[in-house]
Amino acid sequence: MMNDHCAMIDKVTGREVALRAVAVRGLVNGLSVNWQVTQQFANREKMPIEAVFTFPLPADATLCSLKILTGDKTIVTHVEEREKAFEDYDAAISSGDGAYLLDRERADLFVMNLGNILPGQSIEVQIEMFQLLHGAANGARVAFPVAVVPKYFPAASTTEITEWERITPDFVAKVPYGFSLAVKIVQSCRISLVESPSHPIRVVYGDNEADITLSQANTVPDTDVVISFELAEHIKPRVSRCNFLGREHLLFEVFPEFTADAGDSSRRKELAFVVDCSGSMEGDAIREAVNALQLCVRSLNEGDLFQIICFGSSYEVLFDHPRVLDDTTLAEASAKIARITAKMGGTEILPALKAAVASLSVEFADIVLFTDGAVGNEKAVFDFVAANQGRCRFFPFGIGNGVSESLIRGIAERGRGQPEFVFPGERIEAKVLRQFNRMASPFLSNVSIDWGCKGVEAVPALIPAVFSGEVFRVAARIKEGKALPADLNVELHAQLGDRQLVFNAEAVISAANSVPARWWAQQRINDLEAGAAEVAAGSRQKRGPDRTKQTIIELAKAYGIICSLTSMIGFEERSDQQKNNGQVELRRVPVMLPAGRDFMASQPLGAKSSGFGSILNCMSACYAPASLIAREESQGLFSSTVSRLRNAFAQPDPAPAAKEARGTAIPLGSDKCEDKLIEILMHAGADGLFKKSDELLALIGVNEPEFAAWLSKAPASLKAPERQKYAMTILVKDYLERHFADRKDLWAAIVVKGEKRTQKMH
Amino acid sequence: MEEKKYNIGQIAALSGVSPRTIRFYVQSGLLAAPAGAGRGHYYTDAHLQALQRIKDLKDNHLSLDEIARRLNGGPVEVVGLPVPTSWVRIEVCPGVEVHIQGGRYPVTPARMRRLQVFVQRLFGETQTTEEVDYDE
Repeated sequence: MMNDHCAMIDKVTGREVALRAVAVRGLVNGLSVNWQVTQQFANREKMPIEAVFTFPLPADATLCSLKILTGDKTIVTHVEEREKAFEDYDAAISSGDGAYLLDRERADLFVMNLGNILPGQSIEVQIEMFQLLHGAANGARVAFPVAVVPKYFPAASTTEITEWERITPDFVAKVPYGFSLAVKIVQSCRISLVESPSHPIRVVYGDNEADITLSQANTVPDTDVVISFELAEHIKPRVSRCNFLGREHLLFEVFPEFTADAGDSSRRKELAFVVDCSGSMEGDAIREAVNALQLCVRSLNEGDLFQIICFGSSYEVLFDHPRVLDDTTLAEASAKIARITAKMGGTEILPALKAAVASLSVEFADIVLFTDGAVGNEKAVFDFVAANQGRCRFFPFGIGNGVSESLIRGIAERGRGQPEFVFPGERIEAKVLRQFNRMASPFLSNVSIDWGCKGVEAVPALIPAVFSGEVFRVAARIKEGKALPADLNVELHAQLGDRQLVFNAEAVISAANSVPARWWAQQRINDLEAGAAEVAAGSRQKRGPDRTKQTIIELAKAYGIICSLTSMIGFEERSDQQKNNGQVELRRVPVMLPAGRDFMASQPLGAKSSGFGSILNCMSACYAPASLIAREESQGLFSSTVSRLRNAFAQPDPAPAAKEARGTAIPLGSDKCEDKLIEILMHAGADGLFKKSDELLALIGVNEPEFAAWLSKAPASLKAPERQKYAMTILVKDYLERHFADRKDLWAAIVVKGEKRTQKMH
Repeated sequence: MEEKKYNIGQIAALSGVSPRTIRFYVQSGLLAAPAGAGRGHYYTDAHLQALQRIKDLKDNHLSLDEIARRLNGGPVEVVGLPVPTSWVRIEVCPGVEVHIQGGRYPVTPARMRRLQVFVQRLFGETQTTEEVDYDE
């Protein structure tokens, strides 16, 4: 398919597609990833063209190198101020030369412009970047974005809409170019697990290494690649140093572990759940969000306050006032959640967040957000979240394929929370549990960093929130001319109640690359862009916006980093014979409709005209082939429903469906055992107790005589209904310990709730 | 009077449209190509007026396709677009499938069970005596 005799034709336009292939290679060491992205272009037409390709990259990666290979030339690009870079690009093309411009349009969205590609010319674009993963000491999730999802803009944002129209690609059902990805993980201990919810993968384990490739060598570029790995031992805290531009830079990474004091009881929580019900969530995303929300309300403690807000073009507050969790309100919430769909139109996220904050009744609460983040007014959202830091924290779930990482991470950072990402088919329960553990985590106060030396510019400007077991990462640049002390010791200090906590690293290591320096520069630029930092360290006065812009540009150019105000530009100077008149035809590289985005699949056929972006119909679910059923079954969408129906046809269903509304707890995931675990847990009441029912007994394979034996263990002083609940609860706990010991992370919180309750019943 | 000449940066500043978007409009045929050749190409007041017209039409929430039609003097097509819908297809039992419009009805296990029993009885495939409450 990739040979010279084959033309890559866009079936709709009949034009050649300039992009031939995309290959991604990643090297993971500790929690650091080095990425190399290679894009191959070729002009097989008879006229010179300008190819424009819009593509996503990890939002928190630092892009630090762009090389262009064409013929026997290697063009190394440089960082230039954004508008100057474009002027030079435009001028070079007009002069008949080649020019290559990489713009960062969003933290996670880039546009590669290849100007004046001559007929027959082939070009290889090589992008290098690094990424420091958010994870724990024993593993992390690596996600490489592939899908591009259109963004929703509020109607007033004409300028933003105009800019978005310029960069938005043409969405098509199929593209003629392929995508390949390979990741190598190298650690200092054994890698115990590698898995991927997004793609079938091949893993070859070596000595503290793992080589991962996609099972399909050239896959369709419509699905983000998600790979998770776990380690047999914990990554050690460390301080890395490097000297860059004559100055020392430090990168400090620790994994603080702390628990509440023994006498500290669970404080009452208030949570507002905000659910994106816009059209872009239709398909896998809304199903994941509903499942996650069902689990969330069941993870609350009895007596916690909660509210649910759904939003689209408008928003709807599900309860007239926040509810106190008990069995009645749990059942009510469950029924309302089951009716949530993605039919509310646009994505007006800001009014919904404002309503959520306004609904809070206690002094300090948490907002849990479920969204795919397909919005264009990110800055306004970030500003609002940052302005409410003292009122509440934000814990966002980024849902679905093509989720906007930049929005989700941005909300979490400014909202002093942590993000979680849920890919279709990925286990959500552990993520829900992690978020609730974070929310229940004791507060640390007086958090500070002792860098062990003076004259330090530290980043981020706002010290990140500290969560037990998770990486805490900061960096510093040392004053010019200062050397590091020989016995350098960097410490994280915090206070937990009356206790002083100190976390440090064993040794300072010299980095083999410039990562500490470039990460420092990226964070500093992020702070300046967000207005979170003063231009001059220690300055008591804010400088004007022009001075801030200038500082950002100078930093980006010095450290070779692309940002909102800089682009990467390179020129291909041609001989007089090769130069042309600079009149080039625009060729926008089409991208695929993201998989699992039903709202895009159901759009009507759009006639392509004038080369502007249009969405073409690919597959209406009405005419889905039979394989769709198999796919839905394997994803567990209706797995328990359909399989029970089929079984019911063969044999009468022994346990008719329960009439009380437990909510449509439709578990996603291909593991039928986990489906069963979730079904069991969905029977838990608000207090963690399990009510006896025929369905629950059938699930755990217990008959009435067997149950009677457990009933005898309940205190005789209790009334009959309470005795039954007591017996059912300890029976379920026993069953879970025997059959789901390896999934204790999923059921422990509910069982602990139940244990506290049963202890009070004695 | 000599025609005023602007480079792309100048016309961008005057029009409030970014240089990248101006180039995009030229490449897409929405805006005439600059005059002159090579590095000396330039934009004129005519380009400035055209950009202002495009901006005015954008402020009225017209799409770029519609703007292109207007600028080219063609009629503005009113396309009656069908309302997008999504459907879920469920095979209730072999040979019988049901299509349910997305979001219209909650698809719960209880409802699926009632549907299945109904269909089984309808086609006489089973003699089940299970009672279901159709009014639930």
